[in-house]
Amino acid sequence: MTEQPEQLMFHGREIAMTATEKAAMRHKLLAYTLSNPSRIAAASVAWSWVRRHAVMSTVLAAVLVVGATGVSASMSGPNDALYDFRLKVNDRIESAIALDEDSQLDVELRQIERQLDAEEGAADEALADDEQDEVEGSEGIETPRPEKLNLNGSKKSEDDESDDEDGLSEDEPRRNNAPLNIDDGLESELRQVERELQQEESVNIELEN
Amino acid sequence: MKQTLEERFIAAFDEHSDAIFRFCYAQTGWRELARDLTQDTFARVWRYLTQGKSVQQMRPFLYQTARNALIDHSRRPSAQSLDEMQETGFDVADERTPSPLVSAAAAEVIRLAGTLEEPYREAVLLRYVEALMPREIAEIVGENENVVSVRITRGMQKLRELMNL
Repeated sequence: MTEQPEQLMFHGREIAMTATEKAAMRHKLLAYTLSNPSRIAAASVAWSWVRRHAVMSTVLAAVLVVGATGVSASMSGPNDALYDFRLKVNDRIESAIALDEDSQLDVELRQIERQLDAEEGAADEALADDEQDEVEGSEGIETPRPEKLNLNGSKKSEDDESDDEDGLSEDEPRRNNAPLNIDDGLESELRQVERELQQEESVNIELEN
Repeated sequence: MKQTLEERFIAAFDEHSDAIFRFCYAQTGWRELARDLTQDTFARVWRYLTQGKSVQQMRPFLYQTARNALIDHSRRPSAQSLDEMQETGFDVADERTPSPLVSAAAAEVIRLAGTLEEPYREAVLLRYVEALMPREIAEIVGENENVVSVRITRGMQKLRELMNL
């Protein structure tokens, strides 16, 4: 041998798979990667995006949180935790984005109607709970006559029904004109807004004529 | 544009598969087995990558994985050594012929290097067939550079003795 073993071994670098062997193995491995996909690939891609766009990610997260809270709050009632958020944020935003006077009045009217519905619903629930408690608490004992809720949301016993029949209809204004409770206040506010709307409409009709 | 994990993996295969095959072939002397071990090595690397672990330098990592695959193979009860196969009459002469491009003299030296005992065989083959630097070999085998250099020197002395040089 003329060449040194180190030099001879260097020729070993020419050892390789044939093109067919290599292509077949490549094909098998490609199939293997597809049948065993990376479990964390999607997660790591998402995380790397978040890290690269930290500011945008924070803003996006904040928008999502506030948006989700707003949507939940818009469906909340007086007994829900987000009801305050709805009154203080949702309704104010809604009023703020109403540009002209008509839209503002519409928004106010809608808000009052929603508020009334929600509070009436809450009052009904409370009444149903009370009745349930009374039935459960005094089984076998003569139960007091059930109270009835009138349209204003205030509780009345059946004895008071005669008063209504005596001439005080639902739509008739109260004698002293002062709201008796929150619901009364809201209803009078609602009526006021409705009156304002009617006035606006009549002015518009006159102007058109 | 950033490559996907699959694309990076296949690119690593295209780049390093021949080196890994050569490493396995020089260690086992059996082409078929070297092919299986090469495939096993890349499958192991893929499984490692899919666990979310990162590989800083692919080449040394592939050699490390191939080395583990070789060790696992040698520990299997069914695994037969080259000597055993020769003793039982399995003719490996054709299989050991590395390539028509490699001269008979080169093939004989590689065959003899393959018969060296560990850890000299691994150090000599990685140094002279794979042309890795002692620093790179040290990284693969998990030893320091001086230990690797000593193994290479002693391995070559033993190889010369086998070659009657």
